[in-house]
Amino acid sequence: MSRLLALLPEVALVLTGLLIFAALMRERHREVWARRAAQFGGVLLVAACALSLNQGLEIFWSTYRVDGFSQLVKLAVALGYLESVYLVRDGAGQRDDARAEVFFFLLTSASGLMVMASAVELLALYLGLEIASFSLFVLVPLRTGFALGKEAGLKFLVVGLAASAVTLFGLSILVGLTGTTRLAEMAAILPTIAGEPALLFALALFLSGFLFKLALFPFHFWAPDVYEGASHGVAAFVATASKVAAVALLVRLLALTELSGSLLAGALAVSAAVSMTLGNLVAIVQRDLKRMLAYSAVAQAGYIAVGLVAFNADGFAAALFYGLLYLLMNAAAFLVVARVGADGTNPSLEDLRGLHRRSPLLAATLLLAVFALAGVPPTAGFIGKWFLFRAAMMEGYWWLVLLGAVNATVSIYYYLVVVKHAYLLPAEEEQPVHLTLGDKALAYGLCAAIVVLGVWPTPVYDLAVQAVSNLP
Amino acid sequence: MTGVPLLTLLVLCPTVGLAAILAIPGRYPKAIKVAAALTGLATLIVTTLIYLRFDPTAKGYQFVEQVPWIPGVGIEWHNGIDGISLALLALTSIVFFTGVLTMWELEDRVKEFFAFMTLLVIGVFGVFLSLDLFFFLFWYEVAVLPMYLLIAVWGSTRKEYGAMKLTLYLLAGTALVVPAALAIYWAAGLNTFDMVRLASVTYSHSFQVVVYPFLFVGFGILAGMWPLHTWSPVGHVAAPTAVSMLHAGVLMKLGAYGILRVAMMTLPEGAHTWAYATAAFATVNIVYGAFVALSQTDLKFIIGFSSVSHMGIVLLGLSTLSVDGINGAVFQMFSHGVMTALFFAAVGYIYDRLHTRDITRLGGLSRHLPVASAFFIVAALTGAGVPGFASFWAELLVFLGTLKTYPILAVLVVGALVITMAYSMRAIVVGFFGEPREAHPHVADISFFLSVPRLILVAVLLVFGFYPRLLLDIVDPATRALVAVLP
Repeated sequence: MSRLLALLPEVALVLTGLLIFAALMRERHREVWARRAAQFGGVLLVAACALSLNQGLEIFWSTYRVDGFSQLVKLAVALGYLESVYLVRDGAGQRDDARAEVFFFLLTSASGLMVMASAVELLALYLGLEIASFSLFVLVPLRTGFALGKEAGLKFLVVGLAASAVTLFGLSILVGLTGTTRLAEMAAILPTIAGEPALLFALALFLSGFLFKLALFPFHFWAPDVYEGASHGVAAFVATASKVAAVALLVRLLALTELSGSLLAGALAVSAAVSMTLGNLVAIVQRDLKRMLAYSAVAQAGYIAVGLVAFNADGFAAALFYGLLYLLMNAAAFLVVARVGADGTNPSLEDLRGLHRRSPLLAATLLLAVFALAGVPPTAGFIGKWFLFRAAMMEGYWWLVLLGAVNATVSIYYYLVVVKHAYLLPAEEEQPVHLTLGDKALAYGLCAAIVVLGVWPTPVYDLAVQAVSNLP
Repeated sequence: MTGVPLLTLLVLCPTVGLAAILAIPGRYPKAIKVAAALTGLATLIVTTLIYLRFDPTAKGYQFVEQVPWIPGVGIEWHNGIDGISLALLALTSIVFFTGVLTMWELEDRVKEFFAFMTLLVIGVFGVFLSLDLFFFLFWYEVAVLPMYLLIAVWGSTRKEYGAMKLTLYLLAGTALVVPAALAIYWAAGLNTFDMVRLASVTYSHSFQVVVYPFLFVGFGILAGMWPLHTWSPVGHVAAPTAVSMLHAGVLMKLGAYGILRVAMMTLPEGAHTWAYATAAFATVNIVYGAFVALSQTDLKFIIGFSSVSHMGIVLLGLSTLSVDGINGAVFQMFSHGVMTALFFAAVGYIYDRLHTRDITRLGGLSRHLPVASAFFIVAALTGAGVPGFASFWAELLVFLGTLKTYPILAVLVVGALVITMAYSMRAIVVGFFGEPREAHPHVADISFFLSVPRLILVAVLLVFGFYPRLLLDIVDPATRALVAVLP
């Protein structure tokens, strides 16, 4: 029984897949039924993940492990999936013949991410990474109403495949050095070869696949085009579920061995510094909201890396916790993107004008989302960054903390420009934004979560700490 | 002591008020205003209760509440006040309550305005009563942020520019403060953000010397420290009346309070090493602010630069590191807060009715609007340091403290006080006496209801002007405790 409970998310995944598949078999109203199936399945998935949060299990010859860490990540992925399929709504912006399929591919991508979360063996991990990526490779180009959608898809594919090839190469060296593909065994062997340059080289290559998903400099080039070029729901998935899984995997891999003080730590610190600065500076000039969010994501990846360079349990917990918060902030931001651009086009800053009259609730959601991204209390962004910076400071990275704090101030500028458009500038013609009951519930829920976690993050932070303590 | 956690209650009052304001539909502006006023009144009552129960003779912090919040990283819900914080809590309640009343005629986006204003006040209260470094900075930023929208939406004269400039400057300050705070936490190695325990650690001399400027400048930006003061006049001019009142009256004190509570108490050697430099900067503030105010014609700009000058007196008082100087600085924080609130309240009425604040276009106002003009004149006299008003004592104390520590700077400051008198008189004479220079529409003098908040402010200035011991008796023990830890 407890085995079933532990594998509940996987069961729900399969069930959802079958449901959507059945819906796709229908002759008529395919997208309606697919949407219903996907939304129902998403709820199921979240519930299953929440139920199995405290389970533990190892199956498939110890390659697949269910523990506090994996289940927390799966819950986050499930939430990201639910949010994304909800945002897709009628599939506006998606190519007409793919309006139903988008739900299915989002699910396969989510399943890849979940496999990644649980895999404790390198090949399984790689498999998960590829399942997650390939589904997105299919989804991103299936865009209409945006001329550069194809280009975005191609760029994503090419850069993504390159990153995955590099990852595979790193993996092969790693296996050659240690003679095993299991993380637990590897963790025991790694300290004996800690000084080997080949090990650092292999790890750096292997990590690049995940840094690519996180969009950390210098692996960020795809992000602006994909955010802009993908339809809203797909972009939301890339920005939420995919990100949080990437953070989690980086935590899992970096926790394998003591790396602080190594060349890799230095490289990661520099990446973090450049990523924050570059992302924030380039975001300032963006006029397309999704493109701005993409550059902000590059900056946010930098903040997360600030926590990772601490290379201790505190830093990993802080990074994982921030990943979870980041999911919420982005979910809120993309809710606004999807509803303001309900016809499937990308909303620009001008489209946000007068939002406080057209939909006070959406304006408030946007306000909280961007303030959280900027790290202003009482939203959760402040405490999340505080944890990250604290962890880095404890390891003596004072310059990184200072740079991070300065960057947070720089970022305030373009976030305030967003707020200015939503709250200050009048719209030329005030078209009310239509919100369904579910939209409203989602907006209220996300706002509440962002504020409550900002003031009282203790339970969720404890979950993150506990999850990190589960790592080998 | 009864078991009621009064300090938490003081944060809860505006929080509940905010929830109420958000819950009332926007089509009932009257109800929202009443809710905001009641919130202000509630905070005033709680502050009075705290004042009555406060024991000036007791040592250390009072009304201490301490609950673990995030145990793993040493963050606690830890509040407590001494005489200095109490003075500023009182200031906040007074300005908040009167600020709400001055905005009674607001018609545009009432709900949002009072919601943001209440949020700001929650942050201010939180800073003044928090003893946990994390929550201190948490509240500090909560107070800074609603400012952008309050100014940009409801302001006047280059409001977007002013709002953006103000917000970026202030958050640049926090970009210096947050790393410094984390560095102190790291150097202490106690895994706690408890400010009392952090202050009990002796940090290495070099650490103090390096980190102190970060805190002083970071907080100093909000206190209007020269040369990083430029946001302040621009922001105050752009802001709507109640926001100017709160901002110049209360928010700038957050900066000075941060210097006192965090920088000086935790890093006394740093304060000692940098004292002369900070005093010199503060003197520039005083002299420079006064001279610039002398050349302004917009009433709000005159007040804005006078604030820069007056906040210089606060910073100078703190920099003397002496009992007199710090007593004076705290007194000045209080009296300047009330005075500036009165200033902006008075100008707000004039601008609302005549749509100009330019003294070269006004003139003869005291004949048409005798009561409304009187409020401005009282504030200007207070600012000039006329005996009988609270500022007199504050400036006297700071001056005495400076005379003992930095005699040369003291001479400069006296010179600046003459200029202060000059710009105050100029504003009064040119703007309010003589013949009107332009034909203005005939407007009624200020109504009794609208003069109530201004009367409260005048009363406070007079009470503390004639009986300064009301404040000094509670501030002095706290100051002595602070000076005792300074080298």
